[in-house]
Amino acid sequence: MPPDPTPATLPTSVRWVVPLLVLPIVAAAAWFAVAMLRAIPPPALDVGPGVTVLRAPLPLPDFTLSDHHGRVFDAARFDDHWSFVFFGYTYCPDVCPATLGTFRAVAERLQDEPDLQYVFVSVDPERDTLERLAEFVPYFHPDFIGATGSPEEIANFTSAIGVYHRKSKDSTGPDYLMDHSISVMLIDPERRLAAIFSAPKDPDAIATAFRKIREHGTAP
Amino acid sequence: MKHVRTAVIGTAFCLLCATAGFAGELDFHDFWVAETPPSAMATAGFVRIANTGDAEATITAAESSACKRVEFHRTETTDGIARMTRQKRLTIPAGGELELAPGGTHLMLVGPAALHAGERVSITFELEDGEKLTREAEVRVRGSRSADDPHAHHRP
Repeated sequence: MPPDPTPATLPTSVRWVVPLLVLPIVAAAAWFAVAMLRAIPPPALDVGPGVTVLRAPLPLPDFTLSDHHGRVFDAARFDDHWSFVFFGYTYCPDVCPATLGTFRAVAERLQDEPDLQYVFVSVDPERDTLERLAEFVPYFHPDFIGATGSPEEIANFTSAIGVYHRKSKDSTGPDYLMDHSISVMLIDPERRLAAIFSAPKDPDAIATAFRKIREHGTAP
Repeated sequence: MKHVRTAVIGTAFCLLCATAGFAGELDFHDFWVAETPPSAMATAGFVRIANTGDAEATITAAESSACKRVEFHRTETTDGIARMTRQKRLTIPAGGELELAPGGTHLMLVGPAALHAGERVSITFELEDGEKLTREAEVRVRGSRSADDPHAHHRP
């Protein structure tokens, strides 16, 4: 007859070891719970419908684009500025010019904010050359910045902040259309995504929301 | 002689009616085209079309000397992503309206000439029965209150 594989009682020499094993586990769990509680961020700032203020601003990744003057446009360009950023393409007849028109109206309302910048990133580098951006973007406002770059560098930026863009499946040839996110991203002066405007149409609402966000500040 | 005159006027009136035909039943309100940024490859036109007739109206094509071609597009936004799809026709229900507005269905003027605010653009629409209807749109700047808010004009 083989020996019983599970003895009813552990040998005395082993029994005292059990609490020693369990105690650290309990302590670790308690420490983890406290850490989790501390990590829960304060309630997000409510600045109105269609605006999501991130509880924890999201640091931007590294990327390298060019602006419409031919200068490097990388994450460092967001330092010391608040920036509204929109992603589109110049061939777009509806949403993109409408949003840049909204930017123009927001800029009128926020003229007293000296460190605010407006950036239009073209996600269609195939057709949107820097020369084309240099004609298109300043039309909406001479201070607006147009930027684009290689598809890889654009993706480095957009994928990190949840901006979607791709050629439309329904269109072919040189007149193709793009599907793209309509959101406007607000980047804080620490080069972090601070808020998302998901339906950027009303310049008054955007300007008011911006002032609240700025006043509130983003988490350190 | 009086009869002849009546006949002439009558015939002329009937001809006029025939020419006006369906077109007389489509009213274009607040028809505007967005000013073109330099080097724009396309711009958009917006309008509210009211059909005062008792039959559905269908616009099958449009053209203008101000651009290479006019297409009908609809922007649909799902989960924050805008997708544009080309529409073959615009249908205006009997006694109803069709609103072409930013972010929705719109006219796409492909390859436009440089269009400046205040200018007028003539666009010819072709109805399903081959009838043609020409209307003028005003060129407006995007981001101006009148352009962004189609109802702004009706407010005090």
